[in-house]
Amino acid sequence: MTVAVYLPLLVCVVLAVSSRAVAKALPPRAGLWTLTAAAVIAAAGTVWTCLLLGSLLVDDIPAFDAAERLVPVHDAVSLVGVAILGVGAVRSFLALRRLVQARRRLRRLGALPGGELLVVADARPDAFAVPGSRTGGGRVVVTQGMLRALDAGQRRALIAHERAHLRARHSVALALAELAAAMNPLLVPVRRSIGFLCERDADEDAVVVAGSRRLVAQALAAAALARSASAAASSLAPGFHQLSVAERVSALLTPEPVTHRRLLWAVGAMTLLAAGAAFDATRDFASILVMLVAR
Amino acid sequence: MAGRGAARSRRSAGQLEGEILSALWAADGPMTAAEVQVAVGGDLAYNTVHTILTRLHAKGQVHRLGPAGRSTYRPVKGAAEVAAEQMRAVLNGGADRGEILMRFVTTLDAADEAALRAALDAEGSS
Ligand SMILES: [Zn+2]
Repeated sequence: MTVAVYLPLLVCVVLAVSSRAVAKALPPRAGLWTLTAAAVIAAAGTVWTCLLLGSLLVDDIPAFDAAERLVPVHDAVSLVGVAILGVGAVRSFLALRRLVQARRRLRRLGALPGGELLVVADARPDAFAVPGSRTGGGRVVVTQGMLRALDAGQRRALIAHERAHLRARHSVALALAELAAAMNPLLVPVRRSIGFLCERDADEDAVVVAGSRRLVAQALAAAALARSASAAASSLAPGFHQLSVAERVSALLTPEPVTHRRLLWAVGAMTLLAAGAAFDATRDFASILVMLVAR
Repeated sequence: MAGRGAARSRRSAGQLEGEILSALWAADGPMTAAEVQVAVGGDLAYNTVHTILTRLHAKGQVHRLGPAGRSTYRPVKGAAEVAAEQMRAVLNGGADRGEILMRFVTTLDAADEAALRAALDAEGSS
């Protein structure tokens, strides 16, 4: 076993520490998918690392002893690996169940009669996109309270923003990010950054439709203030997202937000490094296994 | 300044249907096509508004009242009450944690609220 086995974990740490700053600097569309791929690969690398470490606990098999001689792994490290794997498996199971349940409820809402826009008889201001099936569909759900809190231009921005989520299939990225973060809690900040980039992407699409950055910024501000004025909205855990509306508004009030495409390559290279390291560690391991079988 | 940028906008049929339907929902009572034209911001041709209202009527999403030519329109509210119940089921089920639900805006903390009010005020005075 070589030190490469620990690299996927290191990549997770780097992603976690940098994700907030990276999210603000990445171009939204390409950035959200790059980060999603990075999160999924890093989570898979975590699983693999922990499996390899855990397997070293099996002392009686000579192959594992041979593997351990390359880089000695203390039993405690192996046990930590097994523990991470166990916690990750339970968290992933729970996250998957939550996703399936939410999807089922959303599908019921999406199956109600009407067109793409589904207006809800509720005075509290709220709006969200309900993803459709693989064949498309999907709906924009808006409360009457939200429609009344906005003027014509702001409603245009709202509808364009939600439609953008559906077209860009952001729900897929969010679900993958959620599962990756469940497997490895280090990736929770990465999940948040992916959520932020989804919102930024939809905001920029809304700018194209509405024809004005200011208009979209005003729509966001008006909707957010209407929501916070409505007492019932506070039943939600505040600050869960930590990707504040204020940050989106300030990005919209900037004429041309500066993004760095080179960062995409940096994130991509780091992800490949994690995948390569996992592969390398596996190869050592596999060659020893082959030796054992051939004997 | 505000709204002039709309001349550059590209809007699909789905987007326009949504805008017109949401204008009807935001209104207090039935509206004529001319009133709808104003309510969606006034940058759509009357004929466009009329065509889309007719399409929405054919799809069963708006009621048309009164004689042809002087008709008024109001949204069909059939599913709205059921939708409210189902929406609460979705939100209470924890989907609002952002896993798959993409909310337009989330809750604000005090600092955010102050920042937004400042941004809006600056807009209003320009
Ligand atoms: Zn959104």
